[in-house]
Amino acid sequence: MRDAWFRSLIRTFPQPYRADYQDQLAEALDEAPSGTSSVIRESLALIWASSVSWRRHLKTPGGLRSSAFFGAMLWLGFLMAVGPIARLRLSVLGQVPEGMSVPPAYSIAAAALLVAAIVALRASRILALMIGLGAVVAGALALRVGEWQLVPALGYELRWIGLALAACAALRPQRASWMPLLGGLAAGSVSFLFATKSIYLLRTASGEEKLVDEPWWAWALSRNYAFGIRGHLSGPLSDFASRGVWEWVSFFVVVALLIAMITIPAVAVLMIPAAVHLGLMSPITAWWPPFVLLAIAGWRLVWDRVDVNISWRSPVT
Amino acid sequence: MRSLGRTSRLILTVLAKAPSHGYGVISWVKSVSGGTEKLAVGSVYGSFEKLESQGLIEHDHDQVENGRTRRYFRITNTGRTRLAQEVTTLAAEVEAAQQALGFDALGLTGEPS
Repeated sequence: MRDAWFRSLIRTFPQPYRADYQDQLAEALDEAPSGTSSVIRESLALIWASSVSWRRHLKTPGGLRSSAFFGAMLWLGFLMAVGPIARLRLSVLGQVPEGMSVPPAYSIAAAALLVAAIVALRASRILALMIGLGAVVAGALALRVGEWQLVPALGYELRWIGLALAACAALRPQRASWMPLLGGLAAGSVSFLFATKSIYLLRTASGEEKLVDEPWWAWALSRNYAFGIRGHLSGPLSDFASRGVWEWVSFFVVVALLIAMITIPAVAVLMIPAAVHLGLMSPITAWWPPFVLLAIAGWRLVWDRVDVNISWRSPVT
Repeated sequence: MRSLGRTSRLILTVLAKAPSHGYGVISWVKSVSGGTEKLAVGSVYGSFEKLESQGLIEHDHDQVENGRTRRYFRITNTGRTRLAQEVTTLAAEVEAAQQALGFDALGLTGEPS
C-alpha cells in the first residue's frame, strides 16, 4: 500500500526525470521509516521535489510542448469517449436518449475516421487533419438533437472534437506517447457509465448550457455538473443523489482538483489544453485559462523560493 | 544572499569530499548521526535539482550498482565558494552564540551569564 502510494507520487515527476532517478528514488524510499507520519513527510517532500523537477523540465526545449501534447491527448481521449464513441455505443445498442437520433452508419463512420485520424497523426499532421475533418462531418451527420440541423451540429463537432484534434496535431512532438489517449478514453468511459448524456453534461459543466445560476464560477461549475448528473441517474445512485449528497461529492472533487493544480504542477500542466478549450467555450469558463496560468505562475513563484528540509530523528534509547 | 537550506548544505558538504548521489547523501547523514537521523528522500532529490539548476553542482557520471543506475554529481567551483560562505556565516553565528552563553575558547564549558 505504502509502496504503491510512493510509486504513484514518483509518476508525477516528468518523464525524463523518472528515467534518470526512478530506481534511486524507489531504493531510498524502501528504507524510509514506517508509520503514518513518515508517509506524510515523505509525500510532502516528494510533491515538492516533483514541483522542482517540473519547473526545470518546462524550461527545457520541448518540455512544455511535450507536456501540453500529453494533456491534449488526454483531453481528446476523454472527449472521444463521451462523444463519438458513446454515441456509437448508444446507436448500436439502440439506447439513444429521448430527443436525440443517431444514425448508426454515420456514428460508425465518425468513430472509425476519428481513430484513423489519430493513427495518421503519427505520420502527418495534414493527413490527420483531413481525415479528422471527415470524422467531424460524419459526427455532425450522426448528431441530431431536437431542432438541430447539419450546420449547428457541424459547429458543435468542430468546437469539441475538431479543436481538440487540431491541438494534438499542432503540439505533436517528434516522439509521442499514446498512453494519455487511453487514459482519457478510460476516464471518459467511466464518466459515461454515470450518465449517458456525458457530452451534454460537459456542455453544462463548461457553462455552454447553464443549469444553475451561481455567482462563483467553480461552485457554479460543480453545481451544474451535479445538477445535470442527478437528472440522468437511475436506481440507487438516483436515491443517493436525491439526498443532495452528490452536489457535495462533486463540489469536493472540483475543489480537490483546484488544490491539486496549485500544489502539483503536473496536474496544472496537463490541464492546460482542457482549460483553454473550456475557456474558449463560454464567458463563464473564460476563467479557466487564466486560472491555470496563475496556478503555474503561483507554484513557479512559491516552489522556487521554498526549500523543503524534512528530516527526523529516532528517539535515542 | 539567502541562506542555503540545511539539506542543500549537507549535500554540498558530501560532494565537497567526492562525487556522490542522493542515496549516498541520505546514507551519509544516517551514518554520521549513528542511524538516528533520516533525511526525507524527496527533500534530498528536490535539493539536488535546485542545486544543479543554480550551477552549484553538476552531473559527474552514471554507475550501475546492484542493478540500479546511480547518477553521481560533483560540486562546482561556484558551489565550493557558496559552501565556504555558508560555513563562514554559520561559524560567526556559533561564535556569537558561544560568547552569549559564556563558553570558553574551546566551547567546552560555560554557564549562562
